[in-house]
Amino acid sequence: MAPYRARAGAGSRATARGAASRRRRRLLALLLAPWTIGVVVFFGYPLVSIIYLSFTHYDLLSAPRWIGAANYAYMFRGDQQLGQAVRNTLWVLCILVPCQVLFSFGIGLLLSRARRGVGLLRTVFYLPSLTPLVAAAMGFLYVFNPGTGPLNRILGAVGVDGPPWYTSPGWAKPSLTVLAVWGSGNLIVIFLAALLQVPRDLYEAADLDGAGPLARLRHVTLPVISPVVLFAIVTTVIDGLQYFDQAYVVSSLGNGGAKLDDGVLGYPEGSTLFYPLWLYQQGFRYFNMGYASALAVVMLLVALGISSAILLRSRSFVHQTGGTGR
Amino acid sequence: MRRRILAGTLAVLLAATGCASRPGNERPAPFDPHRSTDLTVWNGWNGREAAAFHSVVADFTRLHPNVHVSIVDGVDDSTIMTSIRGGYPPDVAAIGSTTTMGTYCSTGAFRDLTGYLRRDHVTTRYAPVIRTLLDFHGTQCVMPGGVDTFGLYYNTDLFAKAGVRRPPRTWSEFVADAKKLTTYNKDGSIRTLGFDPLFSFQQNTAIHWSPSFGASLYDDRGNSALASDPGWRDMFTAQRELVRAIGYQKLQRFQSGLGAEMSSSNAFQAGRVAMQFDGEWRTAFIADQAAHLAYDTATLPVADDDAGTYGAGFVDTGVFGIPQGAKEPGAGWELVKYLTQTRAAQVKFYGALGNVPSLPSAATDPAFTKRPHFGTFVDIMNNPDSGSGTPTTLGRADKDALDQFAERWQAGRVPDLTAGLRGLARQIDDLTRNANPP
Repeated sequence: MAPYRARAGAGSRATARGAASRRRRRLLALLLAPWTIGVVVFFGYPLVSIIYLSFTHYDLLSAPRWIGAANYAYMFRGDQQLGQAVRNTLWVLCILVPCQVLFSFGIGLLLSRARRGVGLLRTVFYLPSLTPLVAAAMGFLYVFNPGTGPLNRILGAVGVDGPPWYTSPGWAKPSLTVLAVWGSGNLIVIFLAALLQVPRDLYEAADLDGAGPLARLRHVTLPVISPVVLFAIVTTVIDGLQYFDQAYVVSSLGNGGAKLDDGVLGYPEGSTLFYPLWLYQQGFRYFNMGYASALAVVMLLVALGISSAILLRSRSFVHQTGGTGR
Repeated sequence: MRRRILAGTLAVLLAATGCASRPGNERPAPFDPHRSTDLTVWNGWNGREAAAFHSVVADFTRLHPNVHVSIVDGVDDSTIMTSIRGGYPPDVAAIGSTTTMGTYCSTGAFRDLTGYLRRDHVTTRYAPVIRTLLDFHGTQCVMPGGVDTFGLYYNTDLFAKAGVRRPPRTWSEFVADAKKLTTYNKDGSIRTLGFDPLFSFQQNTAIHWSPSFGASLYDDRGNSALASDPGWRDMFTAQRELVRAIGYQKLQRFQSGLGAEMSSSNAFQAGRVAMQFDGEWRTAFIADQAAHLAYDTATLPVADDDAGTYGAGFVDTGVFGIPQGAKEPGAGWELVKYLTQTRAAQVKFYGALGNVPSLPSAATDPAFTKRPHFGTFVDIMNNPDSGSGTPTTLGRADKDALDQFAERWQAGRVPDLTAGLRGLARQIDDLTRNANPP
């Protein structure tokens, strides 16, 4: 009887373990439910809707009508503005993003070395990122106004003929870069935190080996903070692909217009028409939501592609510390 | 098959969440003045203009004490569209121009008003250009409110100083006057500009200039007329000559130093430019912000070989519509009728706004005809040669494409105008095809 009882005991223990495991799974599911619902409702459903809408003609008012790949065909063959929007966005990725990352890294480096007034300096550099983007853009439009703004007056007082800034197609994007760099407080704080985490003994060892400042930066600082650099690059690139707010304000108000919704986006001469602006214009000003959805899908794929490429390439420059690599 | 199932499921999902339209009954809804009715009205006005609207709506509610009107100001097109799509639209929507009218009418987002007009015997004989604007492929889904017309403002002091006796009537007179009125600083920069010919400067848009050259956006078959209508070529050539005469870079530099359009430092109000194309509302701004400015108004100069059309100009109108899904369309129509068909209401409201009333009997009121400098704009509205931006399902996409082309052209980035216009026409036809797939 004993073996039988023993088997019965093992069975009941197994049953009890199974019940406990089911309870644990149910609890896990319950705890995860808010997140799951959020992801499904606010990410999954919109994503699936956008993909579906990109294959339809949808004007926001009548029911979406299936038109196959016509929106994609128009994107690649018929849309004459798209090329300019893509070129402008590439400019953001190739010029604005590196400027922003390098500036933030540079300021972070300086702040990490500062001896006096550290708190004040950190506040000064972080403060711009607290300014609402639209307000900051409007402020810059005023300060950089070539005729009435204070900047060109100051430049004029020291004998420099200030450029036309946001009103010239050649200067509009560099001026936007200045605005973006000015508002890089978040990135500066991230770099600063990483730089302060670099172990001092590594620098001391480098000093003993006779390393100069550049060698220390190259062989100690950069390898140690390389995961943070990677994070900064990926997030800034994604932000660059979605570059909208400041460009929208400058596009709308750069020509002296009174309202944000007036005039043609992209002023002057389409130089500030970035991909997200063109997407917004198609969806919410031309009510061509089917085509705007197709543009959004392509943007998503491009963002995924670029991020994946950077992450794959990062293995060669991101320093891995500790662990087995698993 | 799977794709169809997926498409069907998603369409049902989208429809369930309110993304699809609800085709409505186009029969005119009755209005019972004895029943207590709550009416919601959305409009795009703010501040002083919104206060004037509230006042005229209050007059309506005094006539119909059982109608309780709730007004929401400062609402834009996309909000109205979202509300219609979501199934919670206002009973009446006021829109500032006819630019997006085509979208509202073609999708049935605004009710077709033909039945209401017939039932209530509304047979107003609007100015020809307003009649053209209201007709959308044989239907009418909006009623006209205040009309915007564009004319020439000129500084009489600067005219006298330069020895110019009267406003120019033809383009060659205009160019000669603009040059004569332009003065330069010692370093060669512009001190006072006769006329700023750059497109994208305030109300300087190609479409606003087009009636002066008899240019139309579309031909009779609905195709873009930008390449086929010689008026466009004449207009762009004339504009470029004036830009060249002064210098593109000089103009840009001068322009970038001017005050904002709607501020008291507006270039014309500040005496920085002697002539300016602008809407009728500028008279109210000048009265408010630059009362001592010596100026007058005239119609826009026309092409030399088209001198007979002098007096015409660009016209657009604000409109009222009753959205599909409105809970009280009958009472909504009653309010729209009051706002658009009652002389007193139009005189009061558009007198306060400084717009030209669309109702012919109101437009002849001394409040407008005797108002200083304002008669010009009433005449422009009534001129049979006046033109407008044809409302289409493209909304503003065609005008935006035209403006972008105009900016490239004036900067010298379009080497061959004929080829450029052909490309632009193709672009607009492509936009039309994409907006109206088979």
